[in-house]
Amino acid sequence: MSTVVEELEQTLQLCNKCGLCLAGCPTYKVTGIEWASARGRVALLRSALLDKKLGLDDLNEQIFNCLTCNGCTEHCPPAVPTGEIIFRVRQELLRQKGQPWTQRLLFQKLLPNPEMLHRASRLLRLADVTGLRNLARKTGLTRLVGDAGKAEAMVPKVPASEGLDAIKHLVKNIDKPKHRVAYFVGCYAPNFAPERGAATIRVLNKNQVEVAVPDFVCCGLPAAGYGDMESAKDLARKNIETASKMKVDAIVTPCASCSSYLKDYAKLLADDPQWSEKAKEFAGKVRDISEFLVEIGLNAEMGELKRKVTFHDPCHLSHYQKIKDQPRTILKSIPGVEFVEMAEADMCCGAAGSYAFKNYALSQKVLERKMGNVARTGADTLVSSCPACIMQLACGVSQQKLPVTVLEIVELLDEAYRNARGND
Amino acid sequence: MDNTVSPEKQAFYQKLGEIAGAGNVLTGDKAAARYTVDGIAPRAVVQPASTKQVVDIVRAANESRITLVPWGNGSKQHTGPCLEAADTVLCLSNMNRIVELDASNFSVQVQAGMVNGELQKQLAEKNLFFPLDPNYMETSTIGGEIATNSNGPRRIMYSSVRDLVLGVTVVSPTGDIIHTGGKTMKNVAGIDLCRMYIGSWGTLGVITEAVLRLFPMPEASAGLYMTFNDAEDAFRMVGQLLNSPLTPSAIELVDAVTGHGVAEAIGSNLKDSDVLLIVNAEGTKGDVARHVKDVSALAKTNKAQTVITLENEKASPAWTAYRGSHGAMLDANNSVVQGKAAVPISKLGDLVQQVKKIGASRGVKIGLTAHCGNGILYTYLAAEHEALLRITDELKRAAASLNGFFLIEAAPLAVRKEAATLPLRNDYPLMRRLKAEFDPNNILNPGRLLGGLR
Amino acid sequence: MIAPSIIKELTRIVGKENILAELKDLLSYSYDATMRQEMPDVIVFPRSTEQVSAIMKLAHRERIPVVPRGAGTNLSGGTIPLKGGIVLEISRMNRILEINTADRRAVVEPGVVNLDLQNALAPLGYFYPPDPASQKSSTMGGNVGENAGGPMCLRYGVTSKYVYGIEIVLADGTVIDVGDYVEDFPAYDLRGLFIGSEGMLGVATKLILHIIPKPEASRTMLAIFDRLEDTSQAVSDIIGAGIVPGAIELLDQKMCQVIEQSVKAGYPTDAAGLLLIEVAGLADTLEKQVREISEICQKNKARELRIAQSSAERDALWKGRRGAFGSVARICPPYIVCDGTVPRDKLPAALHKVGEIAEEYKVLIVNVAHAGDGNLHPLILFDVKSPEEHKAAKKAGETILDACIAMGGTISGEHGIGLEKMDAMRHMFDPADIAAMRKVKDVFDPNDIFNPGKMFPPEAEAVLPKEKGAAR
Repeated sequence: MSTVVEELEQTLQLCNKCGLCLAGCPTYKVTGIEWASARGRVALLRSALLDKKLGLDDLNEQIFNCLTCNGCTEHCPPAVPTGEIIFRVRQELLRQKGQPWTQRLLFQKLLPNPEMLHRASRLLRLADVTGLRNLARKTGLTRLVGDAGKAEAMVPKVPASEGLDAIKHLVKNIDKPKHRVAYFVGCYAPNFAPERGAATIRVLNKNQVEVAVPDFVCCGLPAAGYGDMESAKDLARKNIETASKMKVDAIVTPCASCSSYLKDYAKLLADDPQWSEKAKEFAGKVRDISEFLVEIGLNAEMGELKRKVTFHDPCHLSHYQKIKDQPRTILKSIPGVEFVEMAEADMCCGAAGSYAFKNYALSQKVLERKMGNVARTGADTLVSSCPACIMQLACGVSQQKLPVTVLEIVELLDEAYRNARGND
Repeated sequence: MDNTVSPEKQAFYQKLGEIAGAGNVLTGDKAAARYTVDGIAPRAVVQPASTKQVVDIVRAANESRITLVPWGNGSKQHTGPCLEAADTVLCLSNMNRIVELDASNFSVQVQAGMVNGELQKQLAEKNLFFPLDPNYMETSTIGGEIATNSNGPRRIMYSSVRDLVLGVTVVSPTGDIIHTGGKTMKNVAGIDLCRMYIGSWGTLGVITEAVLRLFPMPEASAGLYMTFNDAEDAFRMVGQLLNSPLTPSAIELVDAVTGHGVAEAIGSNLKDSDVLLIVNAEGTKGDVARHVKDVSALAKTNKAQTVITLENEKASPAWTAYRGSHGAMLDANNSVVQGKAAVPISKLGDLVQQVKKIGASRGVKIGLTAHCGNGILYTYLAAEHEALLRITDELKRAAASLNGFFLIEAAPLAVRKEAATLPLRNDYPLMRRLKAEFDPNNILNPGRLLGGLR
Repeated sequence: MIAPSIIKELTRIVGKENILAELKDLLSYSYDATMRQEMPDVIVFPRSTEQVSAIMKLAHRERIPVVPRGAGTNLSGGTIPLKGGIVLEISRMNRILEINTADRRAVVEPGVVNLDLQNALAPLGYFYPPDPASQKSSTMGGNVGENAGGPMCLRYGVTSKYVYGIEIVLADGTVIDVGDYVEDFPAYDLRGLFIGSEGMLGVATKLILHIIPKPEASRTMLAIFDRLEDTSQAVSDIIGAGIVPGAIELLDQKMCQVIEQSVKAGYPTDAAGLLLIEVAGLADTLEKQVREISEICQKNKARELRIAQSSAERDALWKGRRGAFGSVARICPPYIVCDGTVPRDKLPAALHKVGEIAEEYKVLIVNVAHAGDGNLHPLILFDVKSPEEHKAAKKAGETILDACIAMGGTISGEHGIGLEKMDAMRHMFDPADIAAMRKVKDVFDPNDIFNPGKMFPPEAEAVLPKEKGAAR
């Protein structure tokens, strides 16, 4: 078993401190602090792991306040994989310190079991509906749990939903399908935004794509983000197994984080001889929704939408998957839409999964910068392609009182198709 | 020799002869005749032939506390704040040659006493030129221009002398040779002493050599001469010109007072309220043609009354007339006071209006020329002493109200003594310490530059 | 070590969110883009000139060294706190205060990133010419400290041409304004002295910059050669023909190979030399220039010419050049980069000499150069685990600098002296020259508070005896 030092020694020494990464690092941009930059984190990790000047857990803050957006790597000529380094040292910290029970509950019990996850979300809905959640906020109870309490306010009111089943019920056969896909629904839509699930299926159907909704589980990114690679691998194997039972052209998801991590399954299970081939095959089939629609040729029979639209690139779409053109192609093809590019469109919004729960202030600072860029476009519609981003952006828009609607790209497309003449 | 000279000083003058050769030392009336400056007659004038001689002279002067006045051809000797003392003039006119011309690298090393006009002649043989073109360049020396930060119309295209000098060799007041800069345009080794000496008015050291940045002779050139009834129209045009990708090589303005020589040369007539705008272009034939086209168009949309385009040598008479206007103004009347104002570029039009108002309210004609692309205005007026001082104050206030400054340059001695001043700045203490550090005995040009700040 | 009472006092000045002093903080501010590290004692992030002044008053009183710092991307050790003390980080003073195109001025705080300024000017049709390779991270304050260059300097000039006024806080906390918003105020050019003074004379808290309209058009081309001599001769011929391109960058074969390993810019890896040429100016006359340059390249046996047809293609051509230094880290993180500059027509000889030196010391040297102004950047690679190789690499670097001096050039075209080239100063300057520089330092900072231990070689410690003259 190689140690974290052995694994990271060469990678850490790739950095020659040129500092170009500072240009793409959101936490550096909003703080101006060297250790909030990729260069700084790498240098401190070198100090800890190679020079033994301090312990890894002295750097807990820097390791966990990295957004792992990979904005740095794009500017880095030797392409130091800072995001990967951070994931690896989080794994090491987990090994050193053990896993908190909350994470164990979430990653080992809830995420692998959509049914249980749904039930947990109903608890939260109960808290909403009974006013308990509001009460907790008003009495300051939520403040007792620090950043998590503050971040809780960003999670929207939980809607009524029947979970994955509700979305499965929307599946129907279509006339003369050109493609057949498995819709990877993810954890968010069935519990917090079932309408988005519906919109995704409608949009795919509109493009002559037949949709199946198999019993996928969480993609595993949240577990990996906290260093729990074992849970992530378990989830991956489950998903690969589920997919192997189907014959589809592609595995499609509108969540950028999911599509990104699903594509990483090949790397995740590369050392597992039983699963590496299957993982490769699986990963090769994964498509982000924008990627897929442009690939198959987007159905242009849309009605007019009079909107001034700007797009926020989710990190997992732009930096990880290098998908930037396709969402724009789609948006620009909607009649009536005036597309305006915002400055720093591909700079992280500060969501980074559950980042705000541990790094609320920094998340807010990054969000504030994003909101400034949004406001300066004069757009009335802000589109993105990841539920975490959408939640964060909606929060920002509301905080800044911007006259802006925040939508997933599938929702906007859905609206455009429904506006077309002679449609149901 | 004058009997009132101390034996120590006597020894110094004798030494001068030993260092530079007796034939290169002037004393008595001969010294006074040509080299009296600011009302002070120097006791000696020495003309060394090499940096080594300069070193020996300066060392000796420093030891004997003799004040030295570095001198090229004296073009700027009678301007600005007055000297407090001027014992010996250190004239560099014998050090007037090219040391090394590196044509393929576009640089030339010259001795400080080389006359600008002469340098240009020699450079022209190699199809090169040095884009420093003060109006008196036919007589001013490179060293003098560098020391006084003297510039001309071409600054709008090629930048000021601060950015055209690659290095200078200087003899410090304590007699050390200081090499600054080098031959290359890119050079950040150490503290940029070269910049310190540029514009230091001979108070920190004696520049003996300079390395200059050269340019190839342009393929073509043209001058557009445009008259306007209203200065406001002219300045609007200037604003539009500056806001474009055009790169003119001069944007000059004259009025009816200063411009009648130019007007004559182009066969025009300037009425009292008229102004004449001159825009030059130089470069490739294509670039010049484009400039002519665009500038003419701009002139017409801004209500220019006449637009005369003169290509290549055809522009010479008019341009020569323009460049002669400064001298002509000073020659016309030996009590003419010439001042210089600098304001933000966009405020130059406002300043011109205010200056005209001040003149009108005092019943005095104030002639104007301007480097419109740099916010610089030159004023020429003649008046009674008291009126002059009051007008000067008003001009200073007008410039200051526009976040600029106004100072008296060429003027009768009495005027300069009273009015060639500028307000103190908050970096003045640092400048004084710099002077004290480099010239602890205050032997070089005492009173120049810092003397005007009070 | 720094006393807790000092930390307390600094905290009172800047607020606790603007001061860092834990081990991980000190480690983070111990380095720049060179390989050396020295620990500071505390880092402060002032937000205003007043705060900077208060910090300096304290530092001066206690004789604590202060190192002003922007993004720490300099290549000469300029922001390494050699003697510990306070790192005065200006990154939070990052507002663009004013842009006035009619006056051709922009007023900025020193922490503004160069590229951010460009992006603010671009929609107005203006730009700020100096474009160091670090521009997307480096700050204007840092650019001023090093008198930064960049490819565009060939046509437009360096930082000292474009900074007209500077608000400086001196070692004792005094705030002064050098230079001016307007031109030609008769005064000593203290701003000229300050530019490129590498944080040793004071700290800039406000900059008045000169901005100019963007050129109407630009064209970018890549010329590929089979011999390095042809490549550098082409440069000479282009400049010699009186053409002043916006930039001419030269890369040798090994450099292209290294770049392509990391950046994938599409550069050929089998050509002895590459020229990246950009011309800028009026659209109608640009085509003629492109033709002339193409002819000259062809005359010098260029085997291929690629002319960018769109701004995307232009960016692609520049991508490799801008990633050159960082790409070298891929194969060898600790490299020595020289910044020697020679008169342009000595470029072929200089490159040849660099090749000889590489063989002599048995080190791998890859070359990139701002060819138009003779500014070389030989990057010397070595095995960081081998002290012998490191030594050989250092010696090779010193030899290269000596060669540049011998050819009439300088030891630093744009990166500054800092720590890296202190020894080489003695080869380039006489004791009298260095003494004069020290005089300037003494005038600005008599107690050597700012960035001590940089630039001046230690032997020149004993300066010419100070001559205290008549009382002022």
